[in-house]
Amino acid sequence: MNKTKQMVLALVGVAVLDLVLWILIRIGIIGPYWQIILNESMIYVIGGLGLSIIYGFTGQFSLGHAAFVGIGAYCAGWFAITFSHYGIWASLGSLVVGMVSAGLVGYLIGVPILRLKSDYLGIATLGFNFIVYDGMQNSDKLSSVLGGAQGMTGVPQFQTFEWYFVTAVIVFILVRNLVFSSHGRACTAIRENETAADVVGVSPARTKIMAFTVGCVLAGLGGALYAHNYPYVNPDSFSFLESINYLIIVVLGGLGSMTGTVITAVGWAFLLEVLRMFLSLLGPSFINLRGVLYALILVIVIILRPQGIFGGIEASFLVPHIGRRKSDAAAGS
Amino acid sequence: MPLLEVKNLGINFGGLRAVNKFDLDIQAGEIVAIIGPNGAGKTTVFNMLSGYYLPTDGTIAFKGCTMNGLRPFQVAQRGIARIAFHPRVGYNMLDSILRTPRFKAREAELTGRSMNLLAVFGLEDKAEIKASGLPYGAQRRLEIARAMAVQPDLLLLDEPAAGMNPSEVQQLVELVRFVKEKFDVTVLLIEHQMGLVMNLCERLIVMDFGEIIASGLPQEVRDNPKVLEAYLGRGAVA
Amino acid sequence: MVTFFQQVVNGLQLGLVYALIALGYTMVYGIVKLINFAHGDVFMVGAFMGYIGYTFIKLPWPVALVMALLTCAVIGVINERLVYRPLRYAAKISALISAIGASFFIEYFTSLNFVFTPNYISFTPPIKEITWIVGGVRITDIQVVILVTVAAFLALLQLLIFRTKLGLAMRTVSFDHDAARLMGVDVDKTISFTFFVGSGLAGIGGVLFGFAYPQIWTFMGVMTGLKAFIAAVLGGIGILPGAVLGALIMGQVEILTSAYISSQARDAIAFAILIIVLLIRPSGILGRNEPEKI
Repeated sequence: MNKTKQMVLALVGVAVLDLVLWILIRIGIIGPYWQIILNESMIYVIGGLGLSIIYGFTGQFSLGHAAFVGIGAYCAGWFAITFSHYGIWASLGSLVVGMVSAGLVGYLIGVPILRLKSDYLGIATLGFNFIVYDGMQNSDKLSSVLGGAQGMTGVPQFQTFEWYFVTAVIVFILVRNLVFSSHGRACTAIRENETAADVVGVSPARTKIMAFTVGCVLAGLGGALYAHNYPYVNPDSFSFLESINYLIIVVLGGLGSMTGTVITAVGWAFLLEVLRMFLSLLGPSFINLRGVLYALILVIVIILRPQGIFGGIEASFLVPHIGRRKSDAAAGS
Repeated sequence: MPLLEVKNLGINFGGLRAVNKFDLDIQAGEIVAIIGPNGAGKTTVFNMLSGYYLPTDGTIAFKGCTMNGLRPFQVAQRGIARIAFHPRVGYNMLDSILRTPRFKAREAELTGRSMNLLAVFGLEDKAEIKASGLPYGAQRRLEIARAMAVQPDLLLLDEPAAGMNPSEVQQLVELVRFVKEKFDVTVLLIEHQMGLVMNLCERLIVMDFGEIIASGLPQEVRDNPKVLEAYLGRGAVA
Repeated sequence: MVTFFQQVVNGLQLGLVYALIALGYTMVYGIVKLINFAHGDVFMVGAFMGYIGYTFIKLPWPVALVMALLTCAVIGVINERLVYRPLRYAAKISALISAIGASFFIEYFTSLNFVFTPNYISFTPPIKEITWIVGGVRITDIQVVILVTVAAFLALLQLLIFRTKLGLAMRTVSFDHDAARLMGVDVDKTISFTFFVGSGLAGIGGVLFGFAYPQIWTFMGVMTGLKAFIAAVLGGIGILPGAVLGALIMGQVEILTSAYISSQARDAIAFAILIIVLLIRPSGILGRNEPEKI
C-alpha cells in the first residue's frame, strides 16, 4: 500500500538521519556547542507541537506557552535534583513530573480561561505568563533549590542528542495520531467554526480543554528536557518573549501543519546561530545586525506567505487516506 | 406521544418579546413547516429548539425528555439526535495515539458510514474535495448529509430553498421526501418559498410578531385572511 | 494618609502617560483590528527624540516635544504602509506576526551603535524639580506639565474625532471598510492618518515619560507598551474613553503595588486584575458585549 510504504520510508529516513548525526557527533564534526543547539531544536519541536495543537489545530490563541515550558522545567529540575541519588531514574521520572505538572496547571487554568474569545484569550494567557514569571522570580521563597531570580542550578545534565531526537520523534508520531483521529477532527471543527461544531455534537468546552491540556503536557516535556540541557534554569528563559518565539514558530510554519511546525522549529533554532556565525565572519561590529536581520526575515516571510511557509501543506505520508479503501468496501455498510 | 412537544414557548430580548405563547406538537413522521414574514420569530424558535437561546418561558420536550437549558451539542447528541446518551465515537485518546485495533475498527466503521451517507446523496466521488469547492447544489446536499450524520429523529431545516430557482426547489422537495423515507426522520422546516411548502408539508404553522396566527393544512392556511394580511399587508412576497 | 495621596498623584502621573500610549493602541485596533505591537517602540523613539532634541540639539523642550511628535507620527505611517497594509485583509495572526517583526526591527535597529546604542542613557530633564506642596502632597512641575499636556491633547483628540470630517471618516472606517468606501471615504488615507495621530500621541508620551523618568533605553518600550496595551483592553479595546480609564487604573495599580506590596509583583498583579475583569466583563470595562447573531 502506497501510504504504508511512504510511512516506512519516512521512518527509515529519520533513522538514517539520526545515524548520520550520531556519527558526526562522535567524530567531532559537530562539537558540544552545536549538540546543545541540536538538542534545543528538539525542545522547540516538542514545545512547538504543543502550541500547534492548541493554536494551529484548535484555534485557541495562547500567548503564554513558555510559562508551561517553564513550569515543566522547574518541576522536573526540582525533582531531578531532589532525587538525584536515583541516577537516571530520577531524570526519567522528572520528564513525567514535568509533563504532569504542566498539564495539570494547563487544565486548571484552561477551564475558566478558554471561555474567552480569541484576542482576549491571548491576553489572559499572556497575563498568566507574567504571573508565572513573577512566581519563578520568587521561587526561592518556596524552596531554595528553585533558585529564585538567579535561577536553578544543579540539574543533572544529559546532553546526548539521541535522547532528545528519539523523544521528539515519538512525540511527533503520537501527535500525528491524535490529529488524525476523531479527537483531532473535533479540534479542527472547533477551530473552523465553534458554533457549527457545537451543533454537530462536538462539545466546545471539552475539546478546547483537552487540546489545551495536551499542548501544555508537551510544553512541560519540552521544559523538562530543557532543564537537562542547560546548567541554569532561569526565569528569563520563560518570559512572554519566549512565548512569542513559540508563536512565531507555529504561525510561520503554517497553522495546522505539523510538518511546518517541526521544520520551522528546527530552522528557527538554527537561524539565530547561523546568523551569528555568518555575521561574525564579516566583522565584529556586524554581530549587532543579527536582531535586525532576524526581524527583516520575519516581516518579509510573513508578508510573502501570510499563511505560513507550510500553511495548508502537510507531508503526504502523514495524512491518512480519505474515503474507502478497497479492503473496507465490505465492512461498515 | 408526540415526538416534539413545545408548550407556551416565549423569549425576551431585553424589552422585546420576540416569541410569545408558541405551542407546537409534532408527531413522528410528519413534515411540518413554520412560515411567516421576515422578523416573525421563526429562526428564534429554531434557535431555542437547538439550544442556542434559553427560553424565558415555556417548555420543550423531545421524546418525553425536557430539553430546556441543554447546550447545543447536547441537543445534537441527545435530543435532536440519537436515542441513547453514550460516547459518540467508541474510542478514547489512548486508542488514538497508540492506534489500537479498537481505533482502527472504529475508524473503518466511521469511514464506511460517512462514505455510505455521501453515496446516498451522490457525493461519494467528491469525498476528497473541500466543501467550499463544491457547486452550490452539491453544497446543499452535503449540508443535509451532514445533518443526517448525527442520525437525528428530528431534522430542523432553516430556509433550505433560499436562493433557489423553481426547478431547484422541485429537486429539493424530492430530496427532502427521499430523506424522510430513507432515514425515517421527522422534518420541521422554516421556509418562505410557498412552492416548497405547499408541495411538501402536511401541516403549516404561521407566525407573525412572535406569535402563531394560524395553523393547519396547507390549503386552509393559504386562504386564511389573517395570513394574507400578515404577508400582503407588508408587501412581502407570497 | 498623606503618603497615600502622594502615591495616588504619582500613579496619576504614570497613568496619564499610559493614556497617551493606550489611545494609540485603541485607535489602531478600532480601525484595522490589529494589535500594533510596534507601538511601544514608537513610544521609545519618542523618548529618545525628546532626549536628543533637548540635550543635543539644545531645543527648548516644547519644540523637542513637537519634533518627537512628528517623528513618531511619520514612523507610524511608514510602519503601516510597509508592514501592515500588505496584510490588512489577510489573517489577523499574520498581521500580528508582522507587527512583532516590525517591533523587533525598531528595537534592534535603534540598538545599533550608530543609532541609539543599546545602553541605558541617563540625562538631566529640562523641567526643573520645582515642587508645590498641596495639603502635604508633593506635586512636581513635571507632573503639572504632564497633566496639562495630556489634558490638552485629549481635548484636541476629542475635537478631532467628533467635530471634524476626518474624525467622522475614522469612525466610519472603524465600522466597516467596504461600507466606508461605498460612502466615498478614502480608507487608505484615513487609516494612515489614524496611525499618524496614534503614533504621534505615543511620541508625546515618550517625551514626557523620558522627562519624568530620565533613564531611557531602546527596549523600554516593551514593558511600557505592554502595560499601555493592557490598559486599552481593560477599558475596552477600540473605545477611546476606555483607553484613558484603563490607563489611569493601570497607573494607580502599578504605583500602589510598588509602594505597598512590592515592585516586583506589580506586573503580575496588574495582569491578575486584567484577567479577573475579562472573566467578568469579557469586552473590558466600557466595552460593549455584542452577542453573536446566529
